[in-house]
Amino acid sequence: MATSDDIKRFDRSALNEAVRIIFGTLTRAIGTLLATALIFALGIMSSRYMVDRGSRLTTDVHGPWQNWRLSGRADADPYTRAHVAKSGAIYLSADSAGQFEARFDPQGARLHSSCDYVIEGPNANGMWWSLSVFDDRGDLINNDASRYAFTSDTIAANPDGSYIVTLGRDARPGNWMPTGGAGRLVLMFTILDPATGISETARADRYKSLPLIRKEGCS
Amino acid sequence: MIKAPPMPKMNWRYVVAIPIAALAVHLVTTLLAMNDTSFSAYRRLSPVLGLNVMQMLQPISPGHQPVPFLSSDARYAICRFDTAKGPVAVKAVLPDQGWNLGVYRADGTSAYFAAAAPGKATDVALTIVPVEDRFLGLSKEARLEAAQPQPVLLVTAREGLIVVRAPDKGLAYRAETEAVLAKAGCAAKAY
Repeated sequence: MATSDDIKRFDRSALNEAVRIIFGTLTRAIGTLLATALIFALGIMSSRYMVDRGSRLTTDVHGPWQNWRLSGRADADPYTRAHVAKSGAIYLSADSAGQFEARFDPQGARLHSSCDYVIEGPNANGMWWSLSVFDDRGDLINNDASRYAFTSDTIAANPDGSYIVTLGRDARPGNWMPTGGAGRLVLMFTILDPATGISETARADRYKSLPLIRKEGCS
Repeated sequence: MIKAPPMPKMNWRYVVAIPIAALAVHLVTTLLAMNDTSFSAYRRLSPVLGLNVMQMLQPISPGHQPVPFLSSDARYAICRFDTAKGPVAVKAVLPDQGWNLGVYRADGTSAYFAAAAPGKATDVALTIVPVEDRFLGLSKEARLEAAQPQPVLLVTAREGLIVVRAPDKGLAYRAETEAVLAKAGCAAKAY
């Protein structure tokens, strides 16, 4: 016949076993939850990064300028297609034009309306190009001068065909684009291929027409 | 001397399974994003554009910028097309360098692009037909039997945008640019 000590010993060991099972189950459940959260976080965040920012797989980077290599093309990779669909922008086909965007200066700092920038571009050898400035959301920056872009048609170029554009809050002579109050800036440079088309080599060399961005100072 | 507790055993199944599962989530997320056109230019412009009608947009400026990163460097005439009820005929004149015409599917991929050469007008005339089983064999265009003054462009999407882009050279040229853009057209044709 069991004594009261035996019963107490049995109760304690049963309790210990129950605690061990509950603790083990909880640990496994928390581990599974954490692993699942990690899986989703890694999968979703890496996908968003590849779609929003791009990588060497999908973009070409030339200094501060980034170009989605297959934007607008029917054979574009899923990241580029998702980027185009998500951006809401109308991309010219990469077959026929180069569209480059810059969000950073050459030192890696975000382009910002509190700073003045000088943009120096080479002679584009008769190709049509445009340089536009937007805020971070892709909206044009409201200004009294109604200046939002320069093109090869509207720029006041140097005698050798090169050009200089200034970005800043305060009015300047020459090709000035006002940026006051916009916050973070995005520059968009578009260059159209000749109507006759260009070779793959020439297409890869589009970046040679890209202007240089130089920060003059910030206030 | 106190003996150090044994290191917990690493479960290699998790080490292998987590990256593989994360890769699967990555691929599914990317494919969903690719097919999500709810923010695309087509969806944004749909409420303001009539169907199968070419419309000239106002000069692009703050407040008159229907999609992000649409520059004021050009004037635009845009047609929202849908070939569900028949082919869509497109015509435009691209008078000079910088002018171009693009046909975009709803997801933003380009189905066709034409650009003008410097100093040389380019006439663009094409017909967009859907490539679908229910359509093939029914249309004259699809069977290439029609007398074809126009090249036939086959697109694999049923809907999208036709964008005629004219460089905006400024006020002095605006009337001339608008006159040429106004000649651009798109219209549904009956089966």
